[in-house]
Amino acid sequence: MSENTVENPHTPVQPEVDDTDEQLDVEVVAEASSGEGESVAVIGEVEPVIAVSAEAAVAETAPDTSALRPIGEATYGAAITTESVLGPDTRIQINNTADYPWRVHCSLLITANDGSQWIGTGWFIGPKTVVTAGHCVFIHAPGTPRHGWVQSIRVMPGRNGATLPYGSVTVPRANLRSVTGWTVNGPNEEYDYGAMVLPTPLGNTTGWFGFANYSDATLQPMTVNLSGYPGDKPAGTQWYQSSAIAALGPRKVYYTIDTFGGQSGSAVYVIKDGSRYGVAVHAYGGASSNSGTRITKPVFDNFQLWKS
Amino acid sequence: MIIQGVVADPSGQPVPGAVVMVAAAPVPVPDIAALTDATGRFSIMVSAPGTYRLLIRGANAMTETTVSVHTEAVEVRAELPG
Repeated sequence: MSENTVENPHTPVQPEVDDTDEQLDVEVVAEASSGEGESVAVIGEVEPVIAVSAEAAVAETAPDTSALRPIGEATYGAAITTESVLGPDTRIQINNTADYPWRVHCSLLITANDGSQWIGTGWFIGPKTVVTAGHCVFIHAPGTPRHGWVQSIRVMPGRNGATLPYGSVTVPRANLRSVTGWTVNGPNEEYDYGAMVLPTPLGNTTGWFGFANYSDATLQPMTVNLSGYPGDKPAGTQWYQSSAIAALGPRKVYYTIDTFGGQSGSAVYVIKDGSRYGVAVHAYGGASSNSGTRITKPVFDNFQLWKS
Repeated sequence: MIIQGVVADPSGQPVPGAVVMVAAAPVPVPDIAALTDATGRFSIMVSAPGTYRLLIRGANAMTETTVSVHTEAVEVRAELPG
């Protein structure tokens, strides 16, 4: 089965855009909802959990792997230039994941075309729509059975280890979304975003984040926040951090928030007037900063389309 | 290019469900992590040659290994400490 034919239900809903479509001078915003139940109020640009970061950093330091044995048939080579954890690890574990905003973040168990399994993160933008990275819904592995749309994704909102406060929903392949810039013409990290449309409106209970297309002038001075499910921490635990924006590209946002495998698809969000707005979708670990796909006007429009 | 291999415990038994992720690489890498299958195997596609550091996490243990990738496929055997 080809992903490129018009009959394929997975045909991307948005063609690749060109530079003139980005409209970075036009700012548009979709509003958030806190859903039902407990909610953590916020003042300022970071989550209140940051107030205990020093204590948390002591209690939850990065695992010390320096004493572990080198293993396998590895060959030791040239200097490594890319690190996902940049300097001291100051990520904070979230324990009240059943409360808003933490329940908006979803642990993802992804089953690829070849049956292999992967972990990632997603976040609600509406009652039935969870955004994630493009490489969580469509894996590029040309010439192998893995290549293409994944089989299914199990979505676990607000997961905390073995506890699933809102249960889980398995999203079939037909309910996945991305764009041609990632699927047909990719991989291209500037178009690395996608979504899942859930069969039930679980987002009405969990709430969701707004999302925004901000100009460079608006976005550059803001603090960005990220919470997700990193694979280097105990299984299914949620971890949060914030940082300044390191750099902006036309379709990318760079930051120094520490991330690890499993956090692809996390919301990179700002807090403005007490509400949370996604401004990028986390996707890559880099040498001096990590990065996400920026919510430009075309991305914003696709999110609106996938919400409807 | 593919980094593939098996994760085993100290007795040599395969470890299913271990998390395998790239901790360092010569180029930016997707922040997705693989889970080992029922036979402890995994495979990860990488886009550029160079040196990669893999971090492997089991239920109660973690280890890492460094891999030099200069051919289409590199085989790794990782042992999680007991």
